Formats: sequence, structure tokens, C-alpha cells
Amino acid sequence: MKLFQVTPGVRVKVLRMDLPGDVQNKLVGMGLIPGAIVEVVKIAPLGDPIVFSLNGRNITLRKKEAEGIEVEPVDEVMPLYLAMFEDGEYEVVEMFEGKRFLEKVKKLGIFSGERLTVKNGTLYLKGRPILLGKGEALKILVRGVKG
Amino acid sequence: MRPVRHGLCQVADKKGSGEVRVALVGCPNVGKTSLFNALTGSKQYVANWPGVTVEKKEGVFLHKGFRISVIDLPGTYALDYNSLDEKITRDYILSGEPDLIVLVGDSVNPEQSLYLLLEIVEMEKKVILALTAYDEAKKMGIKIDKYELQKHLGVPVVLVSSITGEGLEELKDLIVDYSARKGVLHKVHLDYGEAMEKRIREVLNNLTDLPIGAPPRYFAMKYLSGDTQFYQEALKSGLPELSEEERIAFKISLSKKKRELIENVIKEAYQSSEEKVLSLSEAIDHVLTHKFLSFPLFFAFMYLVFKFTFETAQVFSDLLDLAFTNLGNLLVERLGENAISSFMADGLISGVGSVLTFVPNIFFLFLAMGFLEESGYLPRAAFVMDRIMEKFKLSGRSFMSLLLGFGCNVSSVMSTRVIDDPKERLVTILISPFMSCSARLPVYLLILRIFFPHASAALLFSLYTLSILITLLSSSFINWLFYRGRSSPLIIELPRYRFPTFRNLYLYTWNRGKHFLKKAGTIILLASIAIWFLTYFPGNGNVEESFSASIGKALTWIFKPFDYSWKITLSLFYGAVAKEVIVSSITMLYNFDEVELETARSVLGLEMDPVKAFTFLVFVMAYIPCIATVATIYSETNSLKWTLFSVLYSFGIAYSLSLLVYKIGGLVVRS
Ligand SMILES: Nc1nc2c(ncn2[C@@H]2O[C@H](COP(=O)(O)OP(=O)(O)OP(=O)(O)O)[C@@H](O)[C@H]2O)c(=O)[nH]1
Ligand SMILES: [Mg+2]
Repeated sequence: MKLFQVTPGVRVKVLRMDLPGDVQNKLVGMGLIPGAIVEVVKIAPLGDPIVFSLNGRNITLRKKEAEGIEVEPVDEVMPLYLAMFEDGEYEVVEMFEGKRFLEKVKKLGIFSGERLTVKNGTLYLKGRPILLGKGEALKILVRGVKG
Repeated sequence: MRPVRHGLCQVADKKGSGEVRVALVGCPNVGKTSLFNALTGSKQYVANWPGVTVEKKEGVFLHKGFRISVIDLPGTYALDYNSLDEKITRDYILSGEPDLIVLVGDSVNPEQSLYLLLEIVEMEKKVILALTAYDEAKKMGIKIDKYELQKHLGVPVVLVSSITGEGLEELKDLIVDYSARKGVLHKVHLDYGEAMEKRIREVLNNLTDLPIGAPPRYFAMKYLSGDTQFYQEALKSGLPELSEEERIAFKISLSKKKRELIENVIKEAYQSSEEKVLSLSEAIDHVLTHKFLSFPLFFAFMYLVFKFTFETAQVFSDLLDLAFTNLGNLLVERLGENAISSFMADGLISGVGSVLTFVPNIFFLFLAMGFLEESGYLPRAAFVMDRIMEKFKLSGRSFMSLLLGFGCNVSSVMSTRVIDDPKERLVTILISPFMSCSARLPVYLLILRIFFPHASAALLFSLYTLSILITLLSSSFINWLFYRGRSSPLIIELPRYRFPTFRNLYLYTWNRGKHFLKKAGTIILLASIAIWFLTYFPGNGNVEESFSASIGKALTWIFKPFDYSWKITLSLFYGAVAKEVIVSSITMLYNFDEVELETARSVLGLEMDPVKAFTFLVFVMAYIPCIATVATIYSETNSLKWTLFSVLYSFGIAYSLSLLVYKIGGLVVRS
């Protein structure tokens, strides 16, 4: 997944960077190197740029540049929204409040402890494809299941 | 990775020559200039955003019989050779000119500072680590073990605060003692692991002659990581070319190893109260960059600044005005009506005094700007505004520079040096004179108070809005004319919020305001004297027969479409020197004291209606930058072509814009 897709509050690890030379040099100089742990802190009111924190310092970056930075989540538990970028098996850990929302997921058959599968960016529950909005996918926390 | 020590160097008993040169190096915004000021007693420009210092500054202090010159450098995150700041700083360090380097680091977030430190250690320079803003670290409950740092890093460490003065004496002692020593405390040699060390050794073995200006090991590492400067030099001296992948990989591995070491050092030396509560800085940030609140808040702040300089300061301005008028009247009473009393009253007091009356407004404006810059809000505003600026082919970074232009265009042109992208920098320089600087404020206030006593605040605000619009649209236009390119990325470190100290605000306001006073005492004074002579002779006081009248009448054709009188035309002509001179010229040519608004209204009213008066202000807002700004544009762009462009372009814009306002205003009023 790319850094610009990461939602605020999630810690990610930098895997690769593919940016124009000058930008890359500047970021490497500031400590953004593969292996560094960063967290998106905030997205600007108009949707761009973002602020990420790196070793306790907050640095701004436009989404265009953040597109060139490949990252992966550090923590086991993450919003389903992020999990959708990575194919695999996930277990639902928790779901946030919202009466209508809870009713909807209940109807879909999603409960805590349920297994979900992500394949090519599509979500499956027991082999059945499921469509969720971004807001909804953010309200469901999942944990990656090994194997 | 572990540091390997090469043994302690002997302490020299030789007495120093009495002269020590110390360079302050550190990341942007860590507090180098504050430390510089605290050490040398200077009053250099300090503010809470990265990139404040753009020039090398030198200061001196005496300690224990030594004369210590301190050099304050622009901040850099690394010492590669990519940006201008990095080049300047690295060249200076490697030049061997400084006897000693003080690495100014951040006590609260030392990681990047220690990275910079290790770079300098690898350049085999004598360096002291001064962790500054220690007062803030203490407030946050961070405990720092400086002996642990010293042990791992191999350099002397001091904890200082430029605000409370803590540690300053210790630092001074250390500078004197350490510079008198031969060699460094102990040479730390970072071990990068067998694979990388082997590569470095190979290169060292292949070096036929020793590189000039850099230690061999440092040179070898820079060559392997494809450094812009040393890679080329290495090729010239016969080392083989390396593939780009290899260079990048080596560079990143070097950086990674250093950061690992630093992480461990910090773990050993730092202790902080673990529980992470929502800090004040985060809470403030949440509101100020909030999705819905950020824009209204920004405009509310701007409006407050504006109200503050316009209304609160006015009380003081009126008092000064009264004083100057009375002084003038008194002089005429005592000396009688003659050339000398006219020179004193109409030339000096009216010319310079009329400008000085606005000192309170200008000081209040700077006080507000100081608050904006010192609190750390400026880069946040840049962050929030970036998306909008991008539409005009600018970035949040240029927004910061432009906003400074409300104070003075010269400082906004200077501050563009930190804009990495040369095109964006040039465009920002060219458009920044449109930001309505403090020197234009007196003209606005004078005219608005005469012609629009009830709507002056609203009209003043509209002038400022117009100035911002012209600035932004000019950027689109200039980009369209010359570049049609992309806008540059926005990479800014957001500083911690700081509540501006009284001392810092006072220094900021005084530094900026002093400049205005100086101008009043020099350029404006000289201009006033010249204008008085031109206006008094040869008609002996009869304005209509003066030299000024001849010049003015010869120029009126320029403003034919506006129907400006020769006096108004002439004031614009004289005002090219500095915008405040327009005020001096008008008061002298029309011979009124500002306090008597009624007289002023009746004399000026004969020649101008409100529409014309407002048109005049629009023209003043946009037309050619003052001489100081033009000179700065020339020295910063190093191009006569662009300087000329700036002058002609702004004149063209001012002319067409005010003509437009004149026509529209005429229609509205007449209908
Ligand atoms: N509390 C506290 N604040 C400090 C200290 N030193 C500097 N500051 C603040 O840190 C900010 C940056 O200070 P500067 O001295 O301008 O930093 P600089 O390193 O010269 O910055 P650049 O010139 O932009 O590289 C200002 O707001 C200072 O008031 C300190 O010891 N304690
Ligand atoms: Mg500085």
C-alpha cells in the first residue's frame, strides 16, 4: 500500500521509495528511509497535503509524493479499509458504534471473530463478495491471520 | 554497530592564540540563532519556522581572555550536497575555517540532530554537541543523561537553553577549553559492518593520492553513496563508475546504520515519562488545522491583526499627530513666516513627521506578525493553504514567504532562499511586491481617513484582499507566460507551538520597527528635504511656481485617463523611492497638517472625488516596488532582465487595474 492511502492514526513501515531524485534526497536526509516507522497524523482540510510523524517530528508531504512511498502496516490490528490493499485472511476484532451501521453489518453477516478474505481488492465473506463504503470499512478493525 | 575508539588525544598545554572561530551548525529551527544571540548579545532574527536564517552571520564574545567569533549558519537536515544550504554549510565546515563546531541539537527530539552530528564526526572535525531548548525538555519531563551521550558519541555535550540562560557559561567554558586542546576528545569511528567496511577499504586502497579537502574515509563513503560533489571528484581521480542502484543502496545503508546507532544511544541516554497524553501542541493543532475550522480561523486571525494595527494603534498615532502639528505651529509662531521656518515646519516636520505619525500602526503590525511567526502558526497556515496555492502553481512554502510581505517585501524576497525549486522561487520573488507591505499603510490610512471617514476599515480590508488576489493571479500569469510546469513539493517540518516570550516579541518588533525608524531618519528625511527645496524654490513658497510644479506638470500625461492633478502625479513619482514618501509629498504639496482632516478634505477634495481617491490607493498598492525591494530582487535573482520585468510588470498591472476600478467606480457612482 502507498503512504497516501494510509488513514490517520495507523503506524506503517516504509518499504520502498520511488520518487524524483531531489525529493527522495531531501526525505532520506530527513530520515525517511526504508525501514523507518511513520504515522500519518493529519490530512489537510482540503484533502492534501498530509502530515506524517517520524521520530516525533511532524513533516508535511503532498499526496503526489506520498504516492511514491510504499508502506505496510506495523500493528496487527488495523482498519478493514487498509486491509483491503493487501490480499489475505483477516479476522474481525472490533466494530465501532453507529446503530445503522451495526444493523447493516449484522445483515451482511459480519460479527466479531468472523473471518474475511481479501482478494484482488475485493472483500469476501464465506466466499460471497461484500461491498462496503470507505466510512464503513474504517469502522471495522481487523487482524491479519497467518497462513 | 558499535563505535570504536581510537584513543584519547593529548591535552595541549599551549596557550591559544586568543582567537577562536566557532560555527553553529544544526537542523532548521532548532534554535541556532537564539543561541547565537544569547552568546554574542546580538539581536538577529529568530522565529518559529524552519528556514529563518538565510545568510551566514558573524558575532563576537569575549570569554576568559579569548575572543570568540561565532558564525550562525542556515539550518540543514543533512550535509549532503543537494540544496544550497547544504552546500554552503558543508563547504564551510570542510574549509577548515572554523576551529570548532558547535552542533546545536534539539533536546526534545534529538534524532535528526545526532544524525547531523555523526556526519560531522565523520568529517573528523572538532565538535561540541549543545542540546538546546533544554527548558522545554525539562517541562515535558524528559531526563537526559549527558555523560551517556558523551560516552557513546565521543564528543563533549552541554545542555543549554537560550531562553533561561541555563548551560551558557558551561558552553562558553567548553568552547575555550576544547578549542585549546590538540585534536578531538576521542575519535569515534563508526563501524558499518564487514560488507560495507570491505567496500570502504577497497576504495581507500585504490586512492592514488589523498583527496583534497576531505578525510579519506569520509571521501570514500561519499563516493560510494554517489554524493553530488565527491562522486564526480572521485571519477576524475580515476575511481571506477558505480551503478546507480549500488550508490543508492550504499547511501541508504549508511543512513540506516547511523540511525540504528542513534536509536540505541537515545535509548540509553533518554528517559521520558512514558504515558502519552494528548499534548497541548497536538490539541492546538487539532483546532487550527481542523477540517472546518481552519479556514474561518485563519481569516479571523488576519482580521484581528488588521483591526489591531488599524484601530488599537490609532489612538497612539493621533497623539503623535497632534504633537507634530503643534510643534510645527510653534516653530512658525516663534520664527515667523520665512524660508527657515518653512523648511523646518513644512519640510522636516511635515515631511518626516507625517510619516512618523504612523509608527504606532507599524509597530503594532510587527507585533502581530511577531506573534504569528513566533507561535509556530505560520507553517500550519502554509499546510492548510497549500492546496489553494497549488492551484496558482505555488506551494505552502511560498505562502509563508508571501505572508511575511505584509511586513516588508524585502524580507519576503529574502526568505524565498529556502524554496528548493528555482522556478517557484523566482515566481515568488516576482509576485511578492504585490503583497501590501507596511510602508503602504500610511498612504492608505491618510487617504482613507480624509475621504472615507466612515468606511475606512472596510476599504482597507478590500485593498489588502485585492493585493492578495493580484499576487496569486500574477503567479498563474507568470507561470503561464514562462513555465507551464508543475509546482514543487511541500516538505516542511512543523515546529512545536511555542508561546512567544515577551523578550522575543519585543526583539522582533523592535528589529523590524527600527528599520522603519531608520528609513524615516535617512531616505525619507533626505527625500523630504529634497522635496521641500523643489517645492519652495524658485517661487519662494509659491507652490505653483516651484520646480516641483514643473516636474509634476511635465508628468501629468501619464495619468491622463485618471485626470490626476500634477501634485498627485508628482507624489507617485517621488514615492518610487519609498512608499511613505507619498505621504510626505502630499502633506507638503498641499500644505496641510494631518490633524486637520477638515482642511485636508477641502484642499484635496477640490481635485479628487472618493472614486479617484480609491483608484489612487489601488495604484499605490500595486505600482513599482520600492528601491530597496528592487535592489533585493536584483541581488537575489542576479538578473537585470527579471528586475526590469518586475518593475514594468507591476507598473502595467497597477495602471490597468486602477483604470478598471476608476471606470467601474465612475459608473457606480454616477448611476
Ligand atoms: N523554549 C525555548 N525555545 C527556544 C530555545 N531556543 C530557541 N527557541 C525557539 O525556537 C524557535 C527557533 O529558533 P531560531 O533561533 O530562530 O532557530 P534557528 O535554528 O536559527 O532556525 P533557522 O534559522 O530557521 O534554521 C524560536 O521560536 C525560538 O524562540 C530555547 O532554548 N528554549
Ligand atoms: Mg536561524
